[in-house]
Amino acid sequence: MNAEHFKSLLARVLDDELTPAQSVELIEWLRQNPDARVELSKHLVLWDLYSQQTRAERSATAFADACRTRIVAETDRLEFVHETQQRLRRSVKERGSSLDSRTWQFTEWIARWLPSPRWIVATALVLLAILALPGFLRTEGVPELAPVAGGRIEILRGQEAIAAVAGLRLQANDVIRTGSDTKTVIAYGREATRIELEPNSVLKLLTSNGGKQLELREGMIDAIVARQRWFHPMLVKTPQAEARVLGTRFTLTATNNRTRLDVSEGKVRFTTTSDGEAVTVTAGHSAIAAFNTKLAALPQTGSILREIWTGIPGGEVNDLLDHADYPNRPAHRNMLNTFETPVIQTNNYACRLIGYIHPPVTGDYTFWIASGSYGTLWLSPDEHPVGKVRIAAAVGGLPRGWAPPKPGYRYQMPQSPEVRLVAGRRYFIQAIEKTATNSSHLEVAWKIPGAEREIISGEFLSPFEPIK
Amino acid sequence: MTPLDPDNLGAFSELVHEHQAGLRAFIRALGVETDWVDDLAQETFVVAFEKRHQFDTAKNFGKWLRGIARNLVANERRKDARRARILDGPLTDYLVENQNVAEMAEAVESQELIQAMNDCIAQLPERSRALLERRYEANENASALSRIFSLSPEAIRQSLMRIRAGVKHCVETKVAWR
Repeated sequence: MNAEHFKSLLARVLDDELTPAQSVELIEWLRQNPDARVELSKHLVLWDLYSQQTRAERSATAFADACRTRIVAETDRLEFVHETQQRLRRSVKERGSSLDSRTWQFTEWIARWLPSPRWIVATALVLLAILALPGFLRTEGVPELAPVAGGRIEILRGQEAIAAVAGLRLQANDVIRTGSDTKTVIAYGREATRIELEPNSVLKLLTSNGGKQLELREGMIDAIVARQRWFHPMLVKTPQAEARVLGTRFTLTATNNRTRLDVSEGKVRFTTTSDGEAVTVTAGHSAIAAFNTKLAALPQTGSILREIWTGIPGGEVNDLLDHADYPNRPAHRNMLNTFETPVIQTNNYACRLIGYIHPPVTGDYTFWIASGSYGTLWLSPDEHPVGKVRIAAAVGGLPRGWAPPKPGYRYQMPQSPEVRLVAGRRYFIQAIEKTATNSSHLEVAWKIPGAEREIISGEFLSPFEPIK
Repeated sequence: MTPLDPDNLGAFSELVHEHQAGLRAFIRALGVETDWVDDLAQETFVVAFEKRHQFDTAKNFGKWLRGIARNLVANERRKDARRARILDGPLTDYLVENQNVAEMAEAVESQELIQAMNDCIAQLPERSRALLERRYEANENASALSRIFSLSPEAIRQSLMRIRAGVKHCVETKVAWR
């Protein structure tokens, strides 16, 4: 190795591109050349200082903010652990002294009057049998086609196409296909169950009486299901999953590579076809069955929470973070269906968008922030706000839509490093903008692997809810 | 540990502001990957805040911070290689054990270095300054820069290294950094 080769290895170190083999060579050279050791250290120090000066997300303010957040979070955690330990100790002490003689006398008195265990078991079995009887009965109701709205509907019965008319009694193995501007409803006699088949959907009835079994091959159904008999739940199969329903309201959407379930009332058992993994999805939650997606019931997406503070002077994010009204007393709260706010002219104003991000695929994501004044973006490695770190900042504001900088404008990259996210999980995210005067706006975009940069749509967002 | 109160954290925030630049540069000089330097520096301040009552105020706070950082970086070696935040295990071992990294960090004030470096960079030709800015401000690697500047990645690395060496030499003429 010579001095020239050392320089090429030094360049690799400064660019974080050193291979293990190059590292061995470099260490050997450093051992033999004390001057090279000094040179390496000086370069590392110097160019890190330069990076701190030039990268917005590494600015002193950004660093100090993140530091403060982590210190407060860590202190909260330690205090919580300390308090919990003290409570446990107190509770153990109290329990030791509480079983006095009066308690024992009362317990013995109760025991004397209770019937023998044999009688209790027998009575419970009889009661259970009476209560369970309706569960063995078949569900009533034969499927019928309700009036058709829009254009044409195809119904295939075996090889034969039959006319879709209101009141048509559907049979097992009938396949119903709606057109691009058509939808229809399947009703079940006197039962309140109604299945709305949305445009461009294909549904096959697997049974026509008894328990309801359907196969949604593609498209969407919006279903209201009356309470079913215990042993005859309604089953809806899709290419990726099976939904088991006893009585609820839900929407099921199937495409060729994923099935999404949204439950608005009751609960649905959702099982993936590929590996039999199952999850119970309750009201207000959704689940996705797809390749490379972790099955989980998560709060429904569609919006993110916006909080607004007014009358707080200062133009830096810290001016909000240090204010007594933050975070619990915003002047206004509402939901946004995309990760952006409109442009407004205002003074002494702060805004926070807070919630969860739901990545659609597993991979490396990049985020961008733009804001009228100082704006910062935090992301947590999981759903807990405590682990959030600042990943991007718009120092001094950035044009809406990240328009190219004007001549003379110092270009700052409001861009995060690549962050690996796993589909099927949700991640805590928040963006804050603080404006002293003039225009205020806040936008956050991301780049889904393999796609272009876009403002994050409500489809991938859910509003913040404190985790209990 | 006493309960956290805003005054306490306020005073500590001032120390963070004062020492953050030098501490981050020191952590980088221990062979930590650029993208993880700030994370480890924040951890260092979190540990320092938790142990603040153990600190002897007669002693050098920066040196105490660097001791904590050195331990945190050394701990990275116990992690699975994929999870470790360092550039290369053996190189970090070497740099952690090597005293001259600490000497470099203590030899001169970070603000003095930054001032000198900014002066030196201001004297660079336009194209060299643009290359540095794209490399650091936009965080683009040699492959990305090679497309922008129509040069091979190796030529970009060599150009950058020449610029860096020139700036370092210029800085050494302005501050006593031996």
